[in-house]
Amino acid sequence: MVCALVFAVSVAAQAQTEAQTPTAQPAEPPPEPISLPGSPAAPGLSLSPEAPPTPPPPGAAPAFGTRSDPEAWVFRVGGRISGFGQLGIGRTPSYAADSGSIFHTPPRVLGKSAIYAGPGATLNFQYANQTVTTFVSLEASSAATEWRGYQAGSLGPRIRTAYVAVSPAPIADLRLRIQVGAFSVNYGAPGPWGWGLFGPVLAVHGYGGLATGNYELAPNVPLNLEYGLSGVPLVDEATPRGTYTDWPEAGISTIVHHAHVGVSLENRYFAKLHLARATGRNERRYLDDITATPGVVERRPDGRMDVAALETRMIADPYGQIGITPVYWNFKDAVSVHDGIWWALDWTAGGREMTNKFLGPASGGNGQIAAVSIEYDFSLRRILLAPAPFDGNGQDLRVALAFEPYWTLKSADPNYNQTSGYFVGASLEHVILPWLSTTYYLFGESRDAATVDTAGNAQRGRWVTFSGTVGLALHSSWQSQDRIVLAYSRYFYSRFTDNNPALPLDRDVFTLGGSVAF
Amino acid sequence: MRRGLLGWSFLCALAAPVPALAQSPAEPGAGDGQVPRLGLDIGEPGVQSAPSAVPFGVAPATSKDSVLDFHGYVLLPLNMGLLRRTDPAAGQDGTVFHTPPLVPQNFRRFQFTGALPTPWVQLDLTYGNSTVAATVIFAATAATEAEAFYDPIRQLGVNDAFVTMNLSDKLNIPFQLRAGAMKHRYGAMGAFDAGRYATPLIARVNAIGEVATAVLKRGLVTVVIEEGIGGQLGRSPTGLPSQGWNDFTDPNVGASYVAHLHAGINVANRLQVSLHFLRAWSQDDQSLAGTLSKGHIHIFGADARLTWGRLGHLYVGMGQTRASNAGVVGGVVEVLNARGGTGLVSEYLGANSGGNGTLTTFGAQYDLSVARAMFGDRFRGRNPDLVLSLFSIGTKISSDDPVQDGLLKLKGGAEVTYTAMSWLGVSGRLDHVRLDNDFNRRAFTIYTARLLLHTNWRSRDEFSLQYSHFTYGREVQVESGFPPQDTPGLRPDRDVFSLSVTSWW
Repeated sequence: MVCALVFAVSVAAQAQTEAQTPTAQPAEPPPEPISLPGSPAAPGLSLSPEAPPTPPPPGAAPAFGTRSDPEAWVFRVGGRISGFGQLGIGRTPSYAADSGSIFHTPPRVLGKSAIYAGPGATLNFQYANQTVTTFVSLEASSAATEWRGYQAGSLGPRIRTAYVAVSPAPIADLRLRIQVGAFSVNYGAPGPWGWGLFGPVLAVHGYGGLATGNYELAPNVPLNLEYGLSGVPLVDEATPRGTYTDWPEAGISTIVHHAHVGVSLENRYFAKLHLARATGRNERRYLDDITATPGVVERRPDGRMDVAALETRMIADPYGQIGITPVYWNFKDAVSVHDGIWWALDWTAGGREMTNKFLGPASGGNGQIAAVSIEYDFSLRRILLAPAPFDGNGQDLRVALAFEPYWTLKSADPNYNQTSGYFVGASLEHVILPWLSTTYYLFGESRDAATVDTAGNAQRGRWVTFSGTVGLALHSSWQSQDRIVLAYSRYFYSRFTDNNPALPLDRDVFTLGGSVAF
Repeated sequence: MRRGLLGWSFLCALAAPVPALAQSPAEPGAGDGQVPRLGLDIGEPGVQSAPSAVPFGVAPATSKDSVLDFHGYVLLPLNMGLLRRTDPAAGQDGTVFHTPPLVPQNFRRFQFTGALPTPWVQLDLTYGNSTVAATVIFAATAATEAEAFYDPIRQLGVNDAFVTMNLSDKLNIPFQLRAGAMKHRYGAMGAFDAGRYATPLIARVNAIGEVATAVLKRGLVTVVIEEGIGGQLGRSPTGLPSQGWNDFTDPNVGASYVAHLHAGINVANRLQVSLHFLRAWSQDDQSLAGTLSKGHIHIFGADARLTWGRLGHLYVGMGQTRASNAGVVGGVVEVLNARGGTGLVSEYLGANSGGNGTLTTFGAQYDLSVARAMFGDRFRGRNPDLVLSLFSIGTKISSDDPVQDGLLKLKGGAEVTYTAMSWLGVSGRLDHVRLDNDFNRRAFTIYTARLLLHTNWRSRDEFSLQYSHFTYGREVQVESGFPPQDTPGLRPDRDVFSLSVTSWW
């Protein structure tokens, strides 16, 4: 009763205040019997086709299509459109009687490709004002039979990312941002912008939320704090594996907590600590039974995958920027952990894939891995012109060098315990004209690995692949984000890598295509 | 090192042709240098394309010139079900998490309440003017970035594509004609939406066809007549296996069509009473058995809504669905979200019904804003408010299947939301579902509490932190597997946490 009274008084007071305000707007006209969003045309008797088939939000938040106050909302479309084709020159397989030329599309190669091929488009729709941003990305590729000989159903079109973010007004020196939806976030890439040559050492995806705080400790010394929680739905064991489902592995639902703290000084020195834990804990026993012990249904323990990374970067103008990120992964029964951690070492997703690739299938997902991701980026013209500024509009040699060694510190699989490997990469672009560049890429990977031969015997060896690429790039201006590329790549493999004479890997690859980001 | 770099740079500079510095900016009229084309442009559509310059930001219905309009909607939740293990083994924790939760909340079944948010994303693009406009709606029930695999049936792609013509000026009465592939939902229990259960009480039509709406106005009275006819784009080819990628198609379902007629009368924008009739049918000889499959679904409905300022919004309605060999009728109509005749058979009429039976459905929803009730038009949604909702749906089954015959399914609930500040609100909801009204062991209850965050009064975004507790009768089952099926012995989650966001524009 008291609450009702307090409520009534507060509403009455505010309503009266509003009514007495000279700027108060006239009362809203009564709503039409049926509202068609964006259309005051003749009403119908059915719900508008535009109304979503979901229940309305609880309470006072207006349902889709109700009248609302006009605000300074802005609509923006961005995205990337690309169309690349690749041709691999193959070698005669051992079983073939004749030795004619063999072409592969897509190329049959292993190791990192210098150019991300494939035709497709991503359209990013943003509807936002100063406080709220709604983001939806629509993605599609050339999936039809005309382009591939079969309908590649998993290539879309698909809604890929969608979220709503709110950035409320700052509280003194504290700025906050909250984002909820379906999205991925990346951490620990040592490159100056975005991912760098070998990408982030931690990426998280799923449905969930992310809260970010930014506080100015001192002038030019901001402190950043971030916490996220996300979940990835399970993949039922009855889910078919095929091209149209993108070959999923059965997996239980995964929950990821991740926390981050970072500080920078004068926008030149950066240090960020990233911590994440993915947990697979689900009594649905898809993964329980181990086929190696028929007749016994094991109870697989819960699993977890922990990540700790220290991202450090320094911008040493005019000599470029260097980033160094040491990272440590700890796995405990991680076969039960699905891909809530979307990327770890070498774009590898989840506990099970990390187990298969770096800990060994016999490890049961138990072990530890460490790596250091290093990248150095510079502009030669910037160095030569210093101390004069260089805005990028001119001839230049843009260079990125990266090195990422890693070690399997501990594994229950003896074939992988105490093994190591590394990634190495270089990207050079010689910008000659506003419309022309030459490009040079070098990528390599070497690691201890084990496999099983046709007789069932374990074979250990060094998995090595290197590639060198030279190319021509045409673009519309010195720094435009559009380009048409013609490139040739040469691949080199160790005998352990190219080990199947019936399916020999391609050595020569031609790439032709173009892309525009906007 | 530096000398090496200098030398490299010198070589590079030599490689750069002199014209690099002789470039001149494009001059006016440089567009004349466009490369002539010998074939049709790659981007040219197969039909006549729209004018190239398209203004944006003007509602087509109010513009004489053709413009582009854009709307959208997102609802994105993280739902986590919690369950205590009864017998944790070594290395296993006592509590497990389920995403999605193991709870009886299948949208296609009577058990659905909408108390838990489920993902939905749509983008609406409309091009046109006040006379004619074309709309295409992309939609998905999942965002692939957050999923563990690509499920094609959850990416709906172009969900609707239709053209709207406003012929009011030509006919001197409000008249609208829509043609294309689109959905229409009759029996929307909310004032602007399908209601708290997101379930049209009468029927939903999914067809490519036409829907015409004519309006006659006399003083305070408005009469609305609406008719439509259409069919589905295709049917499952005979021999197509029932698999996940085709949404577990039933090859026994024939090509299906629907005709529907509706009439409503509206008095002073306060009271609206409507009558509905729909006939969906199939008569197709393309079956594996080589027999002619004829079946139909007749739906009769009547509903009324009272929208009276201080008194809130009241909807009451009822419908009767009569099915005859309905198992061959496809999803051209949906009743209580059950897709076509196959959905009616599996959820209501029973496997041994032969697709024959009747559903008598009734429902009501009442929404009241306490602040508006107290202060009338002086309250404009920019003050604290208490919003109350009561809602219920029931359906009585008459079927040739003795297991289902006479079954009464009921669900009802209440929701209370207090918006305390422009950015903060709390909400509570109670749902009770009786899958068979005669047995408590086939009933469950959901208790829900929510913390709501907005950016402003009446903002179109809402962040929600939600906790729901489920209590079950001992015969309530949850689904598992692919396709999902009721799984006896599988323990459902009792506690579910949700973090969700919704926004539309």
